[in-house]
Amino acid sequence: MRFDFYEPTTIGECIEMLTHFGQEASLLAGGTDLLVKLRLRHIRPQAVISLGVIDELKKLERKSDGSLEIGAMKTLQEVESSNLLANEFDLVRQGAGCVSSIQVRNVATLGGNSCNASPSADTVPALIALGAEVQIVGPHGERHLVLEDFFTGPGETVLQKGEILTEFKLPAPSSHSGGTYKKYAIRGEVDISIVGVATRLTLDRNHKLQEVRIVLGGVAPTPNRVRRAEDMLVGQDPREELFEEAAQLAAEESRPISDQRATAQYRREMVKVWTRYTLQETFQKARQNHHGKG
Amino acid sequence: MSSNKFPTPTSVVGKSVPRVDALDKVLGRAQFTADLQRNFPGLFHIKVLRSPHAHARIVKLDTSQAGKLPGVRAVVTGKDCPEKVSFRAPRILALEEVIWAGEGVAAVAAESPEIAQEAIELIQVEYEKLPAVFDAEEAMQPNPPAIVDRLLGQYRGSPQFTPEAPNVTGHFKLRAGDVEKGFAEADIILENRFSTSRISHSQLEPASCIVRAESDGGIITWTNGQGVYVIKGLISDLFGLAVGKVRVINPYQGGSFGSRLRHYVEPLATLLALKARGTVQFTYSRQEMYLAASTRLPVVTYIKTGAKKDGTIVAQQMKIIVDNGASYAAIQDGRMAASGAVCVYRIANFFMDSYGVNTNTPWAGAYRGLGTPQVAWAVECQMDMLAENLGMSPIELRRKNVLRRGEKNAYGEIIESIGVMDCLEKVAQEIKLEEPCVQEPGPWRKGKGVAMGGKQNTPRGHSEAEVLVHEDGTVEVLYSADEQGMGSETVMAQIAAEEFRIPMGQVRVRRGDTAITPYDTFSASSFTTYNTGNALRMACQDAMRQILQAATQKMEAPLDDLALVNGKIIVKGSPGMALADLFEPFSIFTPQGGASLKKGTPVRGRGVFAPTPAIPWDPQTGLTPKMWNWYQYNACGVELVVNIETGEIKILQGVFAADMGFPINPKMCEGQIEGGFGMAIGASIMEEYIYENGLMTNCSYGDYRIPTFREMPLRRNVKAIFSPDPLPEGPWGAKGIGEGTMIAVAPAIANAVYNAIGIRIKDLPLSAERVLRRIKEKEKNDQDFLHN
Repeated sequence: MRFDFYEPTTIGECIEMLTHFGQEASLLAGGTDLLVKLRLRHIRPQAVISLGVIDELKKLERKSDGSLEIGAMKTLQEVESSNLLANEFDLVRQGAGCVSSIQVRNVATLGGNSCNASPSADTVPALIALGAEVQIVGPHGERHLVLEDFFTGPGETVLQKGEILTEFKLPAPSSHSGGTYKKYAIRGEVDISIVGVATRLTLDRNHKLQEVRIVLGGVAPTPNRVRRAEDMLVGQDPREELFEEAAQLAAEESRPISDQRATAQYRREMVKVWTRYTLQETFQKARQNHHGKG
Repeated sequence: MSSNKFPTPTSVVGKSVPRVDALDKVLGRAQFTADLQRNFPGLFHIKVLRSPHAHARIVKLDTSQAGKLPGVRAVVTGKDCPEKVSFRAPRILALEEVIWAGEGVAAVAAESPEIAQEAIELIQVEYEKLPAVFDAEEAMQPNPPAIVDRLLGQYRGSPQFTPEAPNVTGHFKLRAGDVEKGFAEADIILENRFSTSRISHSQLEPASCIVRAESDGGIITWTNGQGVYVIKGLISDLFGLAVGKVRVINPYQGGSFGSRLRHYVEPLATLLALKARGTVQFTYSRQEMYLAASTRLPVVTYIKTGAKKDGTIVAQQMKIIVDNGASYAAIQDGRMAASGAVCVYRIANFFMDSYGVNTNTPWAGAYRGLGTPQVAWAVECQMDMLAENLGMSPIELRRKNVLRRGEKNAYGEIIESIGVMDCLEKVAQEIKLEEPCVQEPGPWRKGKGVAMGGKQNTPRGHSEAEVLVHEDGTVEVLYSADEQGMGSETVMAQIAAEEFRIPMGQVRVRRGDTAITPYDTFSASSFTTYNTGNALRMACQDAMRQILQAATQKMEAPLDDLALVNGKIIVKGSPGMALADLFEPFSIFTPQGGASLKKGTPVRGRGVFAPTPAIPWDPQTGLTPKMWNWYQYNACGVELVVNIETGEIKILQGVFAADMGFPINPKMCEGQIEGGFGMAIGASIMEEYIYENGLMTNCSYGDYRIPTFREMPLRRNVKAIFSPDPLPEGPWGAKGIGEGTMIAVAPAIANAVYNAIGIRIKDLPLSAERVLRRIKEKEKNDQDFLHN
């Protein structure tokens, strides 16, 4: 297989090339998914366009309003070890740290993990739980949408011809909150997730659950929130039986498939187990933060 | 370690000397087949187009585009293959039908692997799908849903082939005693069905060979396949080449576990080398190792056991169904697998049928133990279930029924060497089987379990060895058995060092080249130490005799008074002379012929060893005083935890005892035990082929998980114990160890899982998913959780 290799230095140049090649081009970020697909002949692009030397895509900034902007080309290792992401944004670090091995994390990127659109991408549930927005730039300008709406199916996103995902924007989280991502796979982090669960809980002044996010990966065509389970918890006094009930609802809301890693039945069961554990742990964190700041 | 039967003190054998290949391997200098490719400029690379269908007729096969691609040297299809088919190898390429998903349809040799791959993608095939059968129990019925391949049974000329059951490749019957009378006397009868999955050897180095077509019509092959002489015979036979013009060379092999006993790369590479009139290399990808290399035989075992209240087993009936896959090279009648049920317990009334069956799945063959672990899986779970039913300890039940030395097994063989009960007692003691586990809060439940087993040794072929004794006292050992990592080179060096009473550093091993090293079969059935080791001892003694004979004249002493020790000829009561002084320098004034030793010419000693042959069994009863040669035995104890929420199993502790006869190198025996234990953890809790319409969907290390450090218990929690019952005719009493080390592990794990959560799982692997399903079934009182 042969293809031409391009290395634009600006977002504008990149969009121009992408617009020119359309479906015949593949974007190269870290390459940890792309190269496998090329090797397996799942795709046969005419052109491979590298994002590797576009500095605009590599920022990581805390804004004055407390929000955070992460460039799409930040590597997972940079994300996992960034001090800027400690504390309130730790959930992102947890997700990034769960992806495969350190060798892979050294090249794989946060934007790539989203754009590959694997239902089991480990960084995505964490980002959705934190309310991440994505910035998309294309030939007709830029647009923003919440990350949950970015995915349209396994391997599919809303990106149109000529568009690229440039950065993630994370709103400033409430200080009375906590977040946890748990990945369950047969062989731990180096394996592909059977299920990934990110939860985020915010407590109000009376220690009731003010805001709840439960995001599942690997058990539907796209990573998604389970809103019935979330709604059931909002306004409640957090307690063990409630988390168990929410976990049950999350399992019912999941839409897993059977494949070589697990059957749908097993995945659903694991949603229940890991949602419960994740909620328990998140609640402990939120309570500590509450006490710490409160 | 040494028994009273073998009082001779030894200085090198029985010692954990460092491996002779350790330095080369640790430094990365050891050469494996793929390393040799750089020696051949202009090498052509082979790629194969494989069938995505489990069973289909090839309607159209067009290779013209591939042939035209620049850089392509040769393209072949089934029509270019020799008509002859050998049972030592799968069919080279499909002809009219493909019979499993992964069978080769066409192949290309090109200037680079990339061009070869591109060419493969230009080949057009049209298939007409045919009915396929994947389940061995379905396949063995009369009028099965599909006939795997009409030619398989007929080709094999199996006397048991019948058109009525066209997928059955063979049937072995054992009829010992009177099973009906036995069951009538039984106080308790227990019936169960057990099964094992298809798994891959997953040896580290994929199959690889280089074949060079020589100008005189001959070939030279460098290959990691097993048995250089077997390959030489196979290739000259398949292609009608003069035997004397086929040379096979065997660099180090990166594991085999039986996979390389069938030769799946050499024939196609030879075909393309001859057609390309050049040198080709053919190396399997990991995906091909799953789809088109050997696999472990999946086995279904029905077992019915009758026992008295005191635990005495009075009757056993078994039906063993061995799934050969789409194999031309099948283990025909399941007799080898079935042996796992015969070699451990004293069962006078034994009625057993074993069947070999073909299915449209990747072909299967030898895998560490050749079916015996799969059958022991059933037997050893059954023993624990029986013990529970009788209210006895599993140890006591086994003690009651185990074969003892000098007794006859159900075939009618008298057992000469059996240390199995001793192995089990030691394991049970070490793991403190009688002490209940202390449970901790949380989802993890602890449990302990034990099991034991045995593996027959096939008295196969014969082995030769040679030694060259040089005037300076150094010794070269020449042999042709394999070195697939198990340490045969070290064992052979130890044997020669021991025989000549020289340090290890004075021995150099030369191995695996049909133009240089003498005949051997291959390393299988754990027999290299025994077969080749015995041959080597004879070779050493032969050389010794020649040297001492020469010394009788020089030293004017009778032969019986002489000995060669560490490069010195010693005469009773005299200081002796140096070996070097026996070798006469060249001089034009002395006669150069004659019996004297010449400087520069080593003394060549030669040894041939052939195991005592089996005695044909009665085909109606399977009875014979000698079915096999000898048996290695083992026992395993594990402590583990089961997660009742996820079904995961973690092995906390493993104790393994082996009766391998006298251990020539104890450290390497420990290595075999630890390696076998780890491999068996994979087979027990992780590994299985997953299919969609017969096409394997998890053919990568990512989705087919083999054990890593993560799955192994901590080093300090794995214990290897030796409990040898030396075999009189083995070298210093040695038997073998390689295959036995997996056998008892899977049932010990299942017995421990039962101990932990009270659930008996009869199908391997005990994957998290399967374990959890059974937990849910139990929780919901057999209401199937699949319908949630």
